[in-house]
Amino acid sequence: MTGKFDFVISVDRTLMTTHHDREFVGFMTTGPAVLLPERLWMWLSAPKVRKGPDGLPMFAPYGLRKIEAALLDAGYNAAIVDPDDVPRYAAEAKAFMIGHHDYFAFNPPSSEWWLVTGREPVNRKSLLKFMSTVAEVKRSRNPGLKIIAGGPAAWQWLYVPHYVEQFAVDTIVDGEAEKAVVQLAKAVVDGSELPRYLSVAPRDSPKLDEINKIKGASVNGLIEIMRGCPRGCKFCNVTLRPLRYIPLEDIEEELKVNRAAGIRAGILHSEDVLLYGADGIHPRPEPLLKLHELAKRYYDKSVTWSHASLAAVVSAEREHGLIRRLSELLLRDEQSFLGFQTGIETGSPRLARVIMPAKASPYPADKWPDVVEEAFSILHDNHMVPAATIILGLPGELPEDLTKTMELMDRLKDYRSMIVPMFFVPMGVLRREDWFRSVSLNREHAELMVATMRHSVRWAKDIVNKFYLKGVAATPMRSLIMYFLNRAAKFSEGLTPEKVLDYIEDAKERMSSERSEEPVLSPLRKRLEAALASS
Amino acid sequence: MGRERVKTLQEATYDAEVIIDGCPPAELSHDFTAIISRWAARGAYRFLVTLRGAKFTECQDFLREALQSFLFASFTVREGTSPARSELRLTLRANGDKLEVIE
Repeated sequence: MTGKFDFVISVDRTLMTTHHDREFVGFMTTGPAVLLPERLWMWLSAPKVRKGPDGLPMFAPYGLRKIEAALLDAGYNAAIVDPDDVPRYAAEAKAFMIGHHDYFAFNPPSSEWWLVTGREPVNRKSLLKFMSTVAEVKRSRNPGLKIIAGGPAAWQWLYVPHYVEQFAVDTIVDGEAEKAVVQLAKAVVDGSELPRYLSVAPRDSPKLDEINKIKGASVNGLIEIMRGCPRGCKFCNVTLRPLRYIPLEDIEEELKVNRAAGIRAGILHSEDVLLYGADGIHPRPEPLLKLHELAKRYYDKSVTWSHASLAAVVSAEREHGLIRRLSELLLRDEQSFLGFQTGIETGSPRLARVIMPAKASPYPADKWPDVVEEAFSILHDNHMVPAATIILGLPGELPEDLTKTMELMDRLKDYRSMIVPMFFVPMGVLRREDWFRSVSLNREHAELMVATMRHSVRWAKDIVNKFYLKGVAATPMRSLIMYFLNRAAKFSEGLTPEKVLDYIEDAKERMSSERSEEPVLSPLRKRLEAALASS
Repeated sequence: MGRERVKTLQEATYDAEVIIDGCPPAELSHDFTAIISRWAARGAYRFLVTLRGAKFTECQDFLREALQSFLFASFTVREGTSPARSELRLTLRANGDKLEVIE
């Protein structure tokens, strides 16, 4: 068992877990327990992570690993600890640091599950309980402890000042934090005053040689291969950051760290993996093939992607037959499929032109539905499975836009995929406690929700049976998930748009009486609203 | 612009400092953003925001509205008195429906 650390880094259980080595199962933490007791739901979605001989978690979220690496490289005594061990370590630390991608379940899909079910998602409940523990340590055992909160969801703290007080948070860091966290650590050690809020402008983002390489293994072997995205969608802040391709030798160093921890299956992380080393928005075979060959050398069991764009899928295949080549390279031996997240957002070319004019590039936005269908077809043929989102309720959305999206859903029904709706909530209403009452769904929205649910449940059963949870070892989890999916399938068969609308109204009533905090959505939506207003 | 104008907090440098006296209502955030916009147009992007006589958590409505309009800027928000002396420094205080420059 190791001694004490000056800088203790951790996060609640819903993120400090490997989700049974299946990243997609992690989505269960974004909803409340449904049809199952909460303890079982948590065991299914967020089991405890294994510890090494040093008593520290063997696997930790990649973002926390980056912060740990920045502090270690700067000579500080820092470590990521298991959430269960935080009270012990934090009692003797100078600072506690936490990073999260959705502290209060304000982001999709948590906010959608919250709205649809009227019940708080388990990730939020887990985080609130965890932060209460940390704050209690500070109050009762270590009043000098500094609490620093960061990560992609740092902005959410600005909407909940009472939690900043209640959890005794000293500093909130928003933006890429490798450099900022070292400045803060110095202030902590020197006993200097800490800022209450620190935002890092995109131009202060670390350059390639300033991005520290992880020292310990990451959850499910996730490794970042690039930062930034050139597509400029109005609802995404990644586009504001400079585009940086992580060099292959740096990627290999991190692959070695993960492999040394026994990881044989991992995720390449980027907003658009197919644009690694790209010529603008045109995928290039050489860097992509080298990247995947390298990754497969270390992750011999499976290599998957975090995100890829549908336009890049089409472009890569049309110009270079690259999807087929990548599929041949990756899908062999133990790997039978590759899953990743992507965005459809709308089936309306008109709306696509406004909110994501470059999403279809190099093809015109007018062709967006055709691009989506062609990408789905290519992916289906190559055993690649997209988990796609569509956005409902955009300002300026017309009934004909929803009709176009419905038509696109119909065109996609025979392609193996998951499609999930997200609600657009205008920033202006978010400060209101009853913000959710302004989420006004019409019959077309409800029709789309029914269509996406039927589509996703149908294909989820296929994916779980044929690809995702194969083998004897996966039997218990497969049985539980299939039980859940069969119930969901039965439920969706009897679902009508009218029932959806009634159900949402009931959920709003439950939220009104049961919730403790109003969900809000990203400030980036301001940009989206501005774009829509000027279109 | 581009010279180091304010030096505080662990060798961090800032292009300009705004001292906010008290805690203005969120509706006045547009006055704050107008000032920041003028400086931003001259190349400033790293701002030190000092809250004088108010706590961070009390001002979060104002700060959220004010700061999140500038996704391209770096903001460091602190409480207390300003330790810095800078060429580009303003002190602002709410007065009715305006945010007034008082120093």
